[in-house]
Amino acid sequence: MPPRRPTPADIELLAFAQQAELAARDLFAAAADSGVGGEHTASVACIAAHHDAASQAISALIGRSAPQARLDSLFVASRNAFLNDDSFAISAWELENTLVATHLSLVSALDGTEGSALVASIVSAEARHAAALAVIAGLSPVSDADAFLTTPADIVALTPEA
Amino acid sequence: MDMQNLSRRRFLLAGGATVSLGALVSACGGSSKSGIARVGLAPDPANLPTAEITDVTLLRTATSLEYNAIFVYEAAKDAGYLSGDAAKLASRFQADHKEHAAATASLTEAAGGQAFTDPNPRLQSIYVEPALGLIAESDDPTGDVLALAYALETLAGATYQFYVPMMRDKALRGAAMGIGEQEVRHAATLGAVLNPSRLVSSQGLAVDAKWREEGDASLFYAVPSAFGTLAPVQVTLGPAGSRTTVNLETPSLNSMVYEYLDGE
Repeated sequence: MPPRRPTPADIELLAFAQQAELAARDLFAAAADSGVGGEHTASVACIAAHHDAASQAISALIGRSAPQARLDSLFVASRNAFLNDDSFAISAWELENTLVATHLSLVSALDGTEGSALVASIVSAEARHAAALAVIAGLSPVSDADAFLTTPADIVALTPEA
Repeated sequence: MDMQNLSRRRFLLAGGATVSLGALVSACGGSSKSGIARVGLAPDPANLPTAEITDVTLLRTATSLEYNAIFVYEAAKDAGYLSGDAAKLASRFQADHKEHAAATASLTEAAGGQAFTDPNPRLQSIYVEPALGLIAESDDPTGDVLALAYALETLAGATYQFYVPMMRDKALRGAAMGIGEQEVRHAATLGAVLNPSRLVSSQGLAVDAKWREEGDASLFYAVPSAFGTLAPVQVTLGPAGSRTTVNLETPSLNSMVYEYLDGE
């Protein structure tokens, strides 16, 4: 039977996931504060809250091993695009797809079932975020269906070494 | 009864009654091989087979749910409930479910099991058939089909998510969730179509009051919660005046497609 609690190797992966979630939280919070997203700014603010909830849930699972600090390289690389109304939605859509790919790789890598269950539930929310952001980007669920329904092939999962 | 207050006389009376009852039961017991006396004759109970939840069981159940979804979209198409963009979306979703079913069937066989290629019989009888019956009587069959699709896609995603920690093989967990995340994207897309003005629910979130929704929560959102939920999914269907709410739950112990059920 697989272990229930995170193993030491799991904790390292989950700590990285928390850093990515905190970077996403700060990016979406900054975007909402700057008013991007048109009529959907409130949804942008709620997505920030979702990433905060994900980071807190990971923290609850790994305790003092949680870094409680964002992945700054991710935040810095995306910040300007998130603050510009023209580039926000597509950049945010790319970020959510990147997080889905990242967390899916974790689901396959984690030994402990509590960690895999938590990350799977985060994947579910972030895959939905991607579809919602496709709407905000003005894409059509019919003619641009792939943008709603799949992770683009060129999206690369984040890794702790990146 | 307090043992400290049990008098010797009462103790003897109670003991005598026990012996008498035992003698009566023994006399009526016949020739039971188990040694336990019983009244009358009854056939020996048939033992239920051991139903172990293996990775194969989970994959077969997931496949069966894909066939439930394929069935619903086919039924909606045959009945002519959908047209235009809604029909195109449904067609795409059905094609995705066929791909998912092929993928989970392939994973089942790779795990040493026999693939299941039919709708989940229990979910078909308790959810799908009653829901389609209600839609047939509905004043708005198009809206009801989209609502049912939203609920079914949410349920499908939740099922994969639910099964992730139950799978022993880590690689299978990732493969399963890779399909599950596509199911919830279907649901999110439908949520955006059904409730375009509010994509992400603020229910339960610690957000500033200016970002909160006013009024009651909708049944439809592209993103209803901060995490994928395993709670029952509600959908309300049927004719005006007698709308019925159906609660859909992820396939659990009594609706899994165990291998021992093959051929029954």
